[in-house]
Amino acid sequence: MHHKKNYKSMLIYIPVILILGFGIGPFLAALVTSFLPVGTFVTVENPFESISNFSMVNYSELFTEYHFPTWFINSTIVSVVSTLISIFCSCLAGYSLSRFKVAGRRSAEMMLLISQMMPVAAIIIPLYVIISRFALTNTLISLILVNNAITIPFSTMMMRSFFDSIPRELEDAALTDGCTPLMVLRYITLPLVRPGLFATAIFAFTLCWQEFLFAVTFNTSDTLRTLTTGMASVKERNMVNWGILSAAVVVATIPVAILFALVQKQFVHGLTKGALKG
Amino acid sequence: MLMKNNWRGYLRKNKMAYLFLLPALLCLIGTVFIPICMAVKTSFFRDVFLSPLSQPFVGWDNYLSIFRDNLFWDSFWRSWYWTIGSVVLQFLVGFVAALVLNQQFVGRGIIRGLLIIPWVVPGTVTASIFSMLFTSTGLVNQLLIKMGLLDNFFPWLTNFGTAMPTLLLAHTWRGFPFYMIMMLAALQGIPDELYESAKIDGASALSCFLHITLPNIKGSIMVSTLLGVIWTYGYLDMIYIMTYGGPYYATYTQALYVYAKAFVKGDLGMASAGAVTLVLTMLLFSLLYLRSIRKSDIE
Repeated sequence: MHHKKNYKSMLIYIPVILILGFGIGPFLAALVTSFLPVGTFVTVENPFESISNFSMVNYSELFTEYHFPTWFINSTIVSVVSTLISIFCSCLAGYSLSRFKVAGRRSAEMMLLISQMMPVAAIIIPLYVIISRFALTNTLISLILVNNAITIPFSTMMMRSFFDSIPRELEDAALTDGCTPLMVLRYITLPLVRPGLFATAIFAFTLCWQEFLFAVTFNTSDTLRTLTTGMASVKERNMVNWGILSAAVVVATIPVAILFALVQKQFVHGLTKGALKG
Repeated sequence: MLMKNNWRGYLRKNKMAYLFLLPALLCLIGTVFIPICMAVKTSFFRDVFLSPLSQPFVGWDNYLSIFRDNLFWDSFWRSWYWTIGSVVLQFLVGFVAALVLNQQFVGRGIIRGLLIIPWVVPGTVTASIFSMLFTSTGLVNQLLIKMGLLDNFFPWLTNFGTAMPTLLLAHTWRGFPFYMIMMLAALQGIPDELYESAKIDGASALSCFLHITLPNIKGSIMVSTLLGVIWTYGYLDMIYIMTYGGPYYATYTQALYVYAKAFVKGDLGMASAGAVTLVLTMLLFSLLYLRSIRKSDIE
């Protein structure tokens, strides 16, 4: 009996390995390709060639022949500043939606939901008109501003769910002790919601890090590209250098993968409890 | 006296409530709602990039021109091919992954973490990886030739028939973790007692799945797939990078139609009309989505 159970519990690893292979196999292919010497491919004959021929040449070429470091810094600046703005807005709005049941709350939620569902392809045309009227094309500010359209709806819903999970009694007690609502938020609620705030910030950061369409439309100058549009420009060259592209893929993936690993649990909570509820 | 104080306190609280909402809503008004209004307005005017001085009011002309454009209808239906194909495949893979991750085994947490990665990387990354895998001399062709399934390198992304399926596969890879997370949460929300009492009654694994699992996660399936439809329909990043609508419009979706009308053809009037139809389609689905979250809330 015991033996049979053991055998059965091993069986689960067959689908686990299949799904894991599908999930990370493509990324592993890029990882291996990025460490191959120039002009070599991963081949079926020798998939582990890169281990014996390990080479950083793709990375060094990516960092010296292209504006890659600039793109990386641009992406970082845009994502960090956008995240700070959207966290400020969504923290306040999420708190308001969670705590105060005032008239007009439903309309505010409706606005958030509608924004969350607007396809970027639709709003990008008037946004481009606005951006060029203010002479903000080929700037990072334009991206920082428009990213809010993507980040705020989600972050607000997530923050709201995190505030919902904190009991009100604590705040009420502080209020009767004579704290102002702002002090309560600052000294009682915010410290309690910090893990959720962190998860929301990382999610907002990831959305900005992924953003492509705004960046490719508003900024055409090579030094103002972000990682995503820079990567696309590497791919659009006449002869695609897959090794260099793979190196770019790896460098673009690592920051978000690490950040996500840090907040996995809160993130799942925020996504399932918050982002999907009206 | 007490009444008056309460009322005042309520007012002060209210003021805070609105003040707190203000920054977020202002940002959204500036980046979403004013642009939508502008698109609606532009859709009734002739507005072409190269002749900015004459912008006459043309009524419904822009709408009529896009509705008479075969390419618009082609791209409209192709958007549904793209959307339904993506959502169904992403959901199936994600659901299977969730069922597997719902079992007890060593390393489950790490594997769940690794499986979320495809969803957090930029679409550009996915597009680059899959362009590399499916290029003529790429790994997929090499494997298929090695296995004797192909004789020659096959141009997956530049062949009319296979470009869209290849894009769908890439998008499945990118999108399945979302459904995995959602379904896993739904599965873990089902009380164990239900399964235990069914076991006592002698129910088979299949009938447990059909009569306990599925009914209990129906709401979550509805909500997440509708959201998936809304996100996928206008999603352009991967198509833009992998095929840009080609070959011969094989992957030309409505979002790309609208985008290219504006930024390639420079016809802002027609593009705005297309954008408005895109927004209206999404609003329709948003209403369905809202109804289904209300319903699953009541349940």
